[in-house]
Amino acid sequence: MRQPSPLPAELEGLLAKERNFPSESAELRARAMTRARAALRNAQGASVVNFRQRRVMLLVAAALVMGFATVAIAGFRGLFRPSVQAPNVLPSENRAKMAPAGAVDAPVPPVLAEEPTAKTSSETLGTPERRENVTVPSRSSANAGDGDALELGLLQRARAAVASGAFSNALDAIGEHQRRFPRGRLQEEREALRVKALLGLGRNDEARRAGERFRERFPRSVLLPRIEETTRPNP
Amino acid sequence: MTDAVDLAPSSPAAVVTEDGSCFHAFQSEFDYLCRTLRRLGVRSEDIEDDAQDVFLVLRRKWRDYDPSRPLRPYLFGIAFRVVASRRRRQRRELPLTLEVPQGESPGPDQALESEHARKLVLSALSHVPLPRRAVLVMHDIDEVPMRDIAQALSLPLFTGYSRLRKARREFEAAVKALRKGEF
Repeated sequence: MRQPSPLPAELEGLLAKERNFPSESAELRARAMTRARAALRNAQGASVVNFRQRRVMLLVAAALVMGFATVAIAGFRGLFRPSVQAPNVLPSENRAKMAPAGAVDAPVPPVLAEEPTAKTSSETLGTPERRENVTVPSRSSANAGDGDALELGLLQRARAAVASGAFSNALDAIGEHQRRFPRGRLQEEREALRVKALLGLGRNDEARRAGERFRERFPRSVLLPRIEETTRPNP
Repeated sequence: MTDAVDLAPSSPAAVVTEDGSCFHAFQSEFDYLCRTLRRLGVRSEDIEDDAQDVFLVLRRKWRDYDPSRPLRPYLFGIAFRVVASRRRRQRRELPLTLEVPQGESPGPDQALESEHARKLVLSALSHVPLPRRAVLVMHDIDEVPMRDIAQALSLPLFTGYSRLRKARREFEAAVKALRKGEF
């Protein structure tokens, strides 16, 4: 394979100067690190919820299997002793034995319930980060990588739409992201884009309300000062 | 971020450990990452968002990264894909309209001369199509061996060399044109 020729000295000199590049501003670095930490915190919250969800699902599945097995065995025995009535519920003490300590009294999240329907109004923020009885994301750890790529792709779509002035399209992508990833890593960015898109459409009152909700949810966000600046009512 | 703890990969604490090491890598190479994004044509106002996107992908793929190998080519590969993905969505790429003073570089002020040279390089790079530009930047600026470039960008070795030759011709032509004020 023919190796490339050496660069002309003049070009090599130019490129050598580019190798010695300046650092980025301290402000940009600080904002970037804060956003990265926030993304990791959001992801850890979702991971903990998924971990709990998997544990509860295992317990529920085990209880169902035990229940069916008991009914089946009782039914089988009933074929030979029809006078004995088969119990159709587990004795409470067995349920307590199956569940780990403390879990019997703990509220069981409705893991099989549907996710709350997002309101069609674009000003509605996603579900709060911490709730006791929320539904949980459907993606398992096995396909979390695909989910992350999907989530990122949706947000990039929204961001590109805002950048090109297609604010309605941006709100469509934002709404889809909210439906599919209500507690995804990119909630903060999503809600900041929502404010931008609403402002772009001239829906200033909705943008201001979305900005207020952003402040309530993400009071220490590096994106907050800009949001407050752009949604401040004109004197 | 917590320190590294030897735990099973699936436990929550191990996830925190991976978070810590990935964040530390992102923090250490942040200047290099942002410069790479600029070399790939990302505008200043988009640098922060694209850097965040790179971090998210880096975190997702952190287990695939072999720490015995240099991080920068791996990071470059991710940055390239993030930028390429956004370009596909925007369906257009405009050359950077940096103000490049025409004619000879300014006088003996070394800092000013270096800044002038860097602006010229970034502007000339923007006239090289992104796939070839990536190879040129990795090989002739970052001085990464072609074998590692091919792995980072998922290219056959022959394609890498071919793109480099063409990119160098395009880059040289752009430098000459910019100096003459033709762009």
